Amino acid sequence: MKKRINLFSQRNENQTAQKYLQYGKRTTYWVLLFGVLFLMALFGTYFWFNRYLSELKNKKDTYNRYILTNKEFNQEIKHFVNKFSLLKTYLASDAAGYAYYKHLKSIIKPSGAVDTIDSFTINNLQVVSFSLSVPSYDEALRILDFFEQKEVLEQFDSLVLESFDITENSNSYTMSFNGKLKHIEK
Amino acid sequence: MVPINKIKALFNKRYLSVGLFIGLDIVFLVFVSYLGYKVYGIYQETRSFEQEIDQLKTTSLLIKNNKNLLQDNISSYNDILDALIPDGETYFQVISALEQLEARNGVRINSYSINLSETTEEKMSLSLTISGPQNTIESLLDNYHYSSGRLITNEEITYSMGNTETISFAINVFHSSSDQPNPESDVAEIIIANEDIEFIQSIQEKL
Repeated sequence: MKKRINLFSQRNENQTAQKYLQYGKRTTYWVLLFGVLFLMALFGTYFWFNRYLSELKNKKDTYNRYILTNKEFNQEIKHFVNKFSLLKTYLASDAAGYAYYKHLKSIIKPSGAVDTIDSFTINNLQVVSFSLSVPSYDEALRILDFFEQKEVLEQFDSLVLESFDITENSNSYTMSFNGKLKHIEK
Repeated sequence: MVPINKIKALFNKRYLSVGLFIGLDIVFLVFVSYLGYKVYGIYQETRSFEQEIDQLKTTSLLIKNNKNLLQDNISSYNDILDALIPDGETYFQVISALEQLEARNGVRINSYSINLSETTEEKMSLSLTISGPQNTIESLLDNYHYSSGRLITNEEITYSMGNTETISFAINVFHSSSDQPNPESDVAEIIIANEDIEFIQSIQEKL
């Protein structure tokens, strides 16, 4: 037979259970509240996307109808654009050497030494090398002076006298230049 | 065995309301997840539609921007472009182009060889040895781009004035299938201008 009964022990257990119950209730309320709000937001988003999708479908149909009406032209223009852009791309890799050769001659023309051009090399980046041969030293100096003129140098991105050679017995003075010509419209 | 009291306690008003809310929460969460999944699906669908529409818009703009200028003569322009850059390449096409190059410029092609290192899938690089008087060689250097009936380009030229009877000349001829769009071109941006048409017409005169 028990001598004493602890009347508070049962009560303490009940209090703890009630405390957890309160937490649980509060949590479920909040979850429900956020759930409802989130659900409403999702519904809104869903309907917005549905409407947007239907607009996109209309747009797609319109474009499709337009393209279908111009079906033949569409094939032709795609073919044209493709080949034309290739043509331009390939032409861009062309050195257009003769055009630059004529350009160089026009640059040299005021010096009267056009006929002294011995060789001419150019690539598609307008990197150029050329040589001039003249029969006298004075003539060679005059040409060098000419190439130092501002108007002449303006035609080049860079220009250097690579060599100045004298051929014995033949009285030939050869000047070799390297540089880069400025781009011209071909 | 579970005591009856405990079972009764489970159905106690308080427990029941919490249980109900938990149930509702679960239903809500399941529904929210389902709806989220649906929204994601519809979002993906719109993205895919947007991409399709972008392509269609590009095509439509290409038609719209160029129709007035090109509609009447586009077939003949395409014929010119196909002649310059054919869809395929054969040995006989190249020989025929070289013969035309000779005939049109009055030079003689003594020999030719293929530069394998420079040749690619769409470009055939050839090294030509050409002979002829200076004026015909200069005519060739001036007109090689289209006078063979094909597009010919040259990436580097060396011209020696003292020895103009014979020159070495490296050329490129091209072919490309119409099904392979040029990766360097942005179709949406392309508006063919009057100058482009004049350019094609000027090529036509040189072919």
